[in-house]
Amino acid sequence: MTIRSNAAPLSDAQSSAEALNVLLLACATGNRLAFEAMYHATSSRLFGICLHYSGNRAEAEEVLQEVYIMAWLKAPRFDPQLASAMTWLATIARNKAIDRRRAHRPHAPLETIPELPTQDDSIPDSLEREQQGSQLDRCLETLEEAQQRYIRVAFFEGCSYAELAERHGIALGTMKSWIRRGLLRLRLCLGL
Amino acid sequence: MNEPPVPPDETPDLLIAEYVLGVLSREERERVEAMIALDPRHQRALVQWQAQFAEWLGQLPASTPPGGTWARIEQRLFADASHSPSRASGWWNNLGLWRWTTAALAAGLLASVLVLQQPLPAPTPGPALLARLEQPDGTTLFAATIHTDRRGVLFVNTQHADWSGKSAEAWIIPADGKPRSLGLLPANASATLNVTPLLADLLATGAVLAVTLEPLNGSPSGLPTGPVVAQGKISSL
Repeated sequence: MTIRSNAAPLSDAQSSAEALNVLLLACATGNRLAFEAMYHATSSRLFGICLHYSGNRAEAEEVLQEVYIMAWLKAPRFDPQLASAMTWLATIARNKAIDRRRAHRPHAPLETIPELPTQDDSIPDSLEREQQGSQLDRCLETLEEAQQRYIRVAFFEGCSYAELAERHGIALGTMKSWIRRGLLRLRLCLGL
Repeated sequence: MNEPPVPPDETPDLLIAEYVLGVLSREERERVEAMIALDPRHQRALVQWQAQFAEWLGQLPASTPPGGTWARIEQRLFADASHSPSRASGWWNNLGLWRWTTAALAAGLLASVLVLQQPLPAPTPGPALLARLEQPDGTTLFAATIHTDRRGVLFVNTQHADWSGKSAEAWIIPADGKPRSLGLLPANASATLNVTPLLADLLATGAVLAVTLEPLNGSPSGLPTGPVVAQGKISSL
């Protein structure tokens, strides 16, 4: 008897997202096996995020530890009706990495800022990408060029308004105006 | 330079968007967090913005963390516990399992024929079940979660694996010790294997999920023939 594959690759993103939700909900009940499974399933992506915003492997590993410690402690507050587990975890990772960099190296030189991914870069197994398509990118394209540019730069550099203005040699008021106007237009376009 | 007027910064929706983008100062962030904590509408707006920007986070390249990271997390969180439950081993790690399994097959054949002829009850939705499938060296190769209706098993791969020239086949081994094929796993990708009603009830706490290397397109005999690359016991959430 030959066994044929009955894998259903089209539903992988959806079922992975659901499985991660299951794992995170299990963490909320103190299930350490679920916590370890979740670590193995997500740590490469979260470490990638930590590395991008830290720019340094040692710092990124410290941040990654803090991310999982916080995820374990805050898991009871995770609500799968509101967010996917991957988004929830990725957001913690980004915020932790940015907080740490700002606290430890408030004046990090420009060259330590990692490369921005280009819009052509894609990670095929990105859950959110498959679920939401590129609604954000489509909406971003409707903005003025400076608005588009500095919203992307702000996101991928993880900089405050003041840092952005200084790094890019643009008046603080102008930077705020571009980004705020852009965010308000994005909000309408995204229907938020 | 003629600067356009700055939009007012006290609009809650704008503040939430700025918070998610990450452009606010620490003091402003704390103020927004306090504001969000008080209003479920703001909480919804927050997670909606986060979900949108998560798409960009998905564009960042993944990177394998240093090897000792998990141990350090466990140490920091569970330093009191003398034994990690995940390190516990049991009969399913016994190398003799597979020989015993094969011997048990003949003895169990008649019984299984009788079982197969029973009318099949619809699987009852149970608690979420999962398993961590580890290699003989203890490295986790898959995190498996079983759908609550028992009609599918998700295998999330956690390591890069090279199975060139072979197919990885997943098995369920219930208490009777007889492996039943769940199907083939794609290389280096998560996959959901659909489970027939016949096998659904075998996906229970204590049963073992295993992955073996088989000839391309799977074991010709319907029983595992190749080495066990990973296995783990199913547990309830």
